[in-house]
Amino acid sequence: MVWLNALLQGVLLGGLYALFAAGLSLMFGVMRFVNIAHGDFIVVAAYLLMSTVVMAGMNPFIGIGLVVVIMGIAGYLGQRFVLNRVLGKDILPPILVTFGMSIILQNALLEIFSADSRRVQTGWLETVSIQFNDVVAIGLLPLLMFVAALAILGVLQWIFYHTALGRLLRATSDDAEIVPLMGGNNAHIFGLATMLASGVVAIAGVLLAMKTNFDPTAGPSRLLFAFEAVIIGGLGSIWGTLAGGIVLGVAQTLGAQIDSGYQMLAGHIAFLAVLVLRPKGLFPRTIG
Amino acid sequence: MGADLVHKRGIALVPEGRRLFASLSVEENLLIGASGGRAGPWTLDAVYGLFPDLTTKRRNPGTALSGGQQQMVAIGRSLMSNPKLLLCDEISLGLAPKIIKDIYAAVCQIRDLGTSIVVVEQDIGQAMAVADRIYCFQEGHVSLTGTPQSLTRADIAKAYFGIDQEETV
Repeated sequence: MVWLNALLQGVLLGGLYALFAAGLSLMFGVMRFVNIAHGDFIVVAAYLLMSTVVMAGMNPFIGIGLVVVIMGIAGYLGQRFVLNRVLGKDILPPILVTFGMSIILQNALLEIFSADSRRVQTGWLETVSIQFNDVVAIGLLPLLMFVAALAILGVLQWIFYHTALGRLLRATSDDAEIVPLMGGNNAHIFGLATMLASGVVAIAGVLLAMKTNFDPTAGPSRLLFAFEAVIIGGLGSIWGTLAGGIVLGVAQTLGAQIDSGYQMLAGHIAFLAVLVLRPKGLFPRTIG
Repeated sequence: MGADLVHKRGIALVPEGRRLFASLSVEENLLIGASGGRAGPWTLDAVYGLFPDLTTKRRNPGTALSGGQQQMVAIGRSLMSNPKLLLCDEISLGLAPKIIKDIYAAVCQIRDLGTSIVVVEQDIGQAMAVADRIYCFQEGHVSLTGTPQSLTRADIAKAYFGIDQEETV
């Protein structure tokens, strides 16, 4: 029974990891570029939530909306004015620039918010749970977060396959050289891709802030989870990313069930096992 | 000028090797062609009218079609921007003779509807049959130009492969 409980908690945790991964996967898919500062962007969003809702005392929903809008606009502008300048055949410059951004963001957060570990309290939400029996129980907050993650991934999937923007993003992912010949502006499309990814990052940061403690250096380990979820699930598939997040989450909670020290190790072992047995991930994209 | 701005001024390219978007369906490939937002006679229905073969394949992935059908999608995709000038790079490359005939029949229809077309073609017979004006290029220079009526195959072969042996280095 304790194992069943750990399994359930792992699945719920996986939703959050899938959200971490979705933004990373989206940017890599459209622009073929790896954002090393991805985890730090998530932490920035978490601090933004703390600033608006806890420090400024805003209504939580308005606060969350504001975080999403700020992150989205910052994502678009950052892509157009900074990252687009380093995109090209060589994959190293974007990696170096985002690595630099990661260091700058961590130090800026340290300067502004100090090294203290923070958390956004959610009050009664944290204590309510659905009890199945004396061992198996699902907390309302983790459940809501899982549902939110599913909804966000569903919206992403819908945007990708049922809107003109999604069509343009997929075309750019297939062959970015040809899109301008069809009248698309790559700089703008890349900006929109990062805006979308940043919106997802904002929600991921909001959920992170409500779920666990975070501090200015929490970014890189979120980046690692995001990477692992993407690789486990297989690049280029949103539902594959969800599966990857869930595999990682379950491995971590099962590991923690054996010994709390094994949580991270179990996640990494699951990741390595998939890398060895199915290098293309569990659900690789079939076309292209 | 960026390629997207060239496109917005009414010049569209059918690239060599077609280069369809692999993860998009036939119809989505065509719709991408309309991204520039130029209005005109070419719509989805008009393209399906020109290439009826594509109608039943509209939901298939663009790259799951035969070579000839893929070329039709590539031409249709460029037409969707309602260009004033359509540039076609090697449109008969690797296609069966019967398919090439169909493609050129479509090219003539497009011209008759008022779009100027520049076709890069290695098949001299095909080019002579449809072109209003022919230019031969040799090492980046125009080595011969004229209407198909005023030129013979021998003229073109000479201009295309180089002049007499003695004169070349």
